[in-house]
Amino acid sequence: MSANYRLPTGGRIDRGQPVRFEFDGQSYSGYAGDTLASALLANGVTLVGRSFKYHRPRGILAAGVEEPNALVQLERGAYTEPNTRATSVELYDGLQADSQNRWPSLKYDIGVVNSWLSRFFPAGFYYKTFMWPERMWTTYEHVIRRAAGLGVAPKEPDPDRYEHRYDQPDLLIVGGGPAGLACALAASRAGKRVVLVDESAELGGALLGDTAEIDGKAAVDWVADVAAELAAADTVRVLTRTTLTGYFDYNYLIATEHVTAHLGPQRSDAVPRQRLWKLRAKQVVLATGAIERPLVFADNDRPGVMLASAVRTYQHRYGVLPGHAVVVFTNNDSAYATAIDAVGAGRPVTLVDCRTSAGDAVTERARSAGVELVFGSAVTAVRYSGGIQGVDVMSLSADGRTVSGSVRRIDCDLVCSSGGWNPAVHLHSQAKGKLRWCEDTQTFAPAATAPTMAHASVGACNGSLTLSHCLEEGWAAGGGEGDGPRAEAAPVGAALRPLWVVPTDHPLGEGPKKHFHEFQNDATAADLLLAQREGFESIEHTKRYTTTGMATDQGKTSNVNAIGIVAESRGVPVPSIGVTTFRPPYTPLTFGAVVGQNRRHLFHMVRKTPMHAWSEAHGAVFEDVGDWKRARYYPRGGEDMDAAVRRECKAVRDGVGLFDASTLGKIDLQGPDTAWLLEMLYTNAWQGLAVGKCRYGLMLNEHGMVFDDGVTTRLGEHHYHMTTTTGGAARVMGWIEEWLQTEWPDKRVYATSVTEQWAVMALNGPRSRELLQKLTDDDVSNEALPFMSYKAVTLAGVPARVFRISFTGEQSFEVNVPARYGRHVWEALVAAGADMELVMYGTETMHVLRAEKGFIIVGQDSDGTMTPADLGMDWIVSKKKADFLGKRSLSRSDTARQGRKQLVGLLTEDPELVLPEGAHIVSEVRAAPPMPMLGHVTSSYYSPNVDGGRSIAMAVIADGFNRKGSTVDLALIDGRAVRAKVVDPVFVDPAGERVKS
Amino acid sequence: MTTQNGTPAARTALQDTNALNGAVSVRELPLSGKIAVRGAADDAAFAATLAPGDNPLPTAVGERAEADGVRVVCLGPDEWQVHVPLDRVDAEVTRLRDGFGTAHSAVVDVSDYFTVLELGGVATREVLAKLTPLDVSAQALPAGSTRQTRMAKCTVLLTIQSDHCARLQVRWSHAEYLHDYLVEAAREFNL
Repeated sequence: MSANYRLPTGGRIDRGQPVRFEFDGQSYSGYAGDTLASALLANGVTLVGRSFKYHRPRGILAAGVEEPNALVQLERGAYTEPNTRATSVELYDGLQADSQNRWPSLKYDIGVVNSWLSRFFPAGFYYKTFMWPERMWTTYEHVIRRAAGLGVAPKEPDPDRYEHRYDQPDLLIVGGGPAGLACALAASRAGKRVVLVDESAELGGALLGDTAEIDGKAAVDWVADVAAELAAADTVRVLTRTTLTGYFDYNYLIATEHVTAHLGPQRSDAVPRQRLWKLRAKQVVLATGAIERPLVFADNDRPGVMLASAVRTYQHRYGVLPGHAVVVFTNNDSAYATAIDAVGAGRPVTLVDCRTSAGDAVTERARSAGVELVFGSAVTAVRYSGGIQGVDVMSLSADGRTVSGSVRRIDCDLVCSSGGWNPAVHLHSQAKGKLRWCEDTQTFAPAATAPTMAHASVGACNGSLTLSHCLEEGWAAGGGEGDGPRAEAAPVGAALRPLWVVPTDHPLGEGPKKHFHEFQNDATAADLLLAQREGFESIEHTKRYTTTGMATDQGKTSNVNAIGIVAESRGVPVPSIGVTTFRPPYTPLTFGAVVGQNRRHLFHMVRKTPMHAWSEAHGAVFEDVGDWKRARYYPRGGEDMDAAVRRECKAVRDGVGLFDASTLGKIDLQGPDTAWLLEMLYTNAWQGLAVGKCRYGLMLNEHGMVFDDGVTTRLGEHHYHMTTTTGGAARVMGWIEEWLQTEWPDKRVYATSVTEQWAVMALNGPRSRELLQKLTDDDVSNEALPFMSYKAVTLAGVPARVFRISFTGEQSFEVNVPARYGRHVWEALVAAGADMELVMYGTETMHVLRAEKGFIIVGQDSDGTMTPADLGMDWIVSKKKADFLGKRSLSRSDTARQGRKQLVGLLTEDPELVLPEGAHIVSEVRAAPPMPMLGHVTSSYYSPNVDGGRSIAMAVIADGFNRKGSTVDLALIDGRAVRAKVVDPVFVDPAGERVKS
Repeated sequence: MTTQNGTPAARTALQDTNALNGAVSVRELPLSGKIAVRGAADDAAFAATLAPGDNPLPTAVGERAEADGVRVVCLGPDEWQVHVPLDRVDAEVTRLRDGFGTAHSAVVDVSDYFTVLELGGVATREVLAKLTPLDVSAQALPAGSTRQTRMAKCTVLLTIQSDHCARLQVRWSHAEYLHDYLVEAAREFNL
């Protein structure tokens, strides 16, 4: 573990800045510019985790986001984050990481027993084993869940900040490698508004781990020059450490930017940890590069088996070469560079090529560098014991199905594998682009794009694997004119040899060796063959059966291999198999980024009335009604809700109470057809309503069911003021607009929401006029302002609309003043009422008072299945009008039948018993549910005003009207059975005299 | 009958909320006059009455015209909002109603329905871009532009006063939420 694989020179790390970090509790040192992976490799740490299913030891395979193995638990406590790829984690001082999926320790993991028992854990094991007997699944699940899964989610609230940010570039370029940079350069010079995102800490992409030249200078110097030019351009925004995570319809994309996430836990939350960019781009250029695919050979998952290009990247970008003796196993020319460069660093290198020859140029360069070349052969075994000891190599048959001859043992501690390159087509696929099969490179590349998308793929992600092509395509896509950046054309090479499964001396799937094609979900080549034998012919079915490509890496390294293996096993061409679907996110993103700033008080608005602050200062207890906060009651001196509500209820009936009704929906209606509209919206007649008069109405939906109610007042010849329920305000406004715009565009009515224009306070009680008159010189007597009429007055010095309407059955005035004066008038009323024992009351008291009168609350006493007749409100349904919304449905046989659930009053035999709302009325009390149900309690309160104080309730009961006078049984949820008498739901002033007084 | 000191006390939606002062500032402007107007632009009497001064009536959404302290902003094909000093609202409502005559129209005082927040500072556009999918760049929304759009969860009438100042007209009861959202968005610029 103390081995040092850091090269003496080279790399883009800052050797003057050592960085301390911990892995599994042990301290190590790396350098600024390292990733956790490069620092671990430099320290000789090759074992970094246990695999998902078999708990096999796993190391670092890759150097980028495609890493399937090296997933670590980063940090602890509230800051912990599972499944972070060590290859993408920038090293920072004090970093703490832990391996995952092991117990009790990484080195001695008990779950490895799964590996010894692996023949009992075939693909589809869970489906086959635990689906019978079905009822036992819940038992199995507990055990399986505990053993499965990678990493641990934090239990604490996320201490970090996140935010969302929008942008609308002309051109969004994804990927800052050679193609992306050439594109950005051209677009920038053309003055386009460009956003360039790259997931790495610095621009350059693959060039950062390469020794190529562009425009006659080292590629990394070219990158630095381009980065500087882009940074200086006003119209270009460069976002590094930013992953394009999702590509959605109509060129809408999201990208996650690590603002401080790469620095570890932060003390300050001044800037967000991550920022989610929501990008609407006119044009998208994908320059996401290509991902090397591993060869699928026996025990190819051993720590120390790595992608050939990754090893080269570690050497050049991080100054790490994680082996002393190297074997490179390849089926194509690209891995030769890894071999040549490793020799250059003083390592002995044997290159095993499954082909009989390679390209002339690379062969010559490798030979002269001193690489030992072994052609026509394959690695058949990896000897592993706490580290790689060596590999076995045998001759490969011409058809690639068998190996033969003597076994040659090559000692080594690092195996580099290359099975070719897969263009990173994920975003192209997310955008519903089609793919084409490339026979020469044996992979899929982008083809046609979907019609609603405007994007192009350039460079390696387009299947163009040479640097010169990457630069050319990028430059052209950016609108570049003339000569763009240039690189030397690659020499002509030899074709890749498809070799989807590397044979051993055992038939596949037999013997102890495993050929992994999918590392993160532990899926082997044998699993794919099993799936084919069991009839999962569709690649999508095979995917779900074997779980290939379903891990968090979405099969970045495994996908094409899986398709190739399936095709080969079935003896059909690869493109005939089809492809699975890539879905967002490209790499996992945090819930924090998804939520952004929309949490806590910013999750949703809390709407408050102009009098809210006064009520708050005077001890009101609030409740949520829709988005509004409404004062529920105003306790005095330690009162609980019951005590406060009884006091408030009594005071209103005996004297005067003041209530904040500002939240009621209000709609201003103007136009000559308004009365006609009201006739359609409400069930009753409106044509005859005189100016200055108010009328109550019920609104029905098309099904004849009550959906809102309220009072509408005629302010002028063609001018009306409608009120709605608090919760229904937006719904009614939408309802009116929908009918006016879609069915009745010829009707001359304009509707304007004025809910918040007016602060509304309701004065209720026999002394309310007396109080009101104190604040106005206008005549508000019963003669001047009778019940159901309206008057504009000056109140407390400000203009007010006073409506003589009531939701309590008391003498009542609803005072509307412009919102700015709400607090002023409220305080004036409070002051004027001081010597009248004025009480402020809240929604709870309002509920009791209206229930005493049997007034419904839509949505509480009705539930979308109640007609006016069901509510005992047939009187408000016009029999003369030709039409109104819902009229037709009232004559439907079910709506018109007898015996429907109907609203009635209930009086419990025990007057002190307040029924729970929702309690069931049953036709027969049984020892235990179920019991035949007749209906349920909709409203239930203690009323201090009925019979000197007793409980009252409203309920909907089947055939309720005919049951009046009889007694019904209720089965309460606590097991009690009680009885109540069915009565009219009007408990106070049934003659209705008080409201007119 | 008058109040104790003779002057009714008008309050705004965020009367009790302190302004944010920093590199980015957020404050509520004093109450101003706003009148919602509906009608048909092709009705001669209507258009002539609504058009401010000698200007033609703005008919493209977001377009506005101004004269003598009266600004008319077009919000939709048959919808405008008139901005006037608070003490001229009643007179303007009367003038519009009288001028429209029998033309089918609606004139509604909505001065209290909305309040206006002012966002200031060099990062104004950066802050706005955290709240709305609308393109708020200088190219798309130069100074003087007005748009009705979604910001966070609110419907906002956004006016770009300059590159460093924007006004957000929002419903009274949404103002506190929008204000808090702006303060949060401004945090990184106010260190």
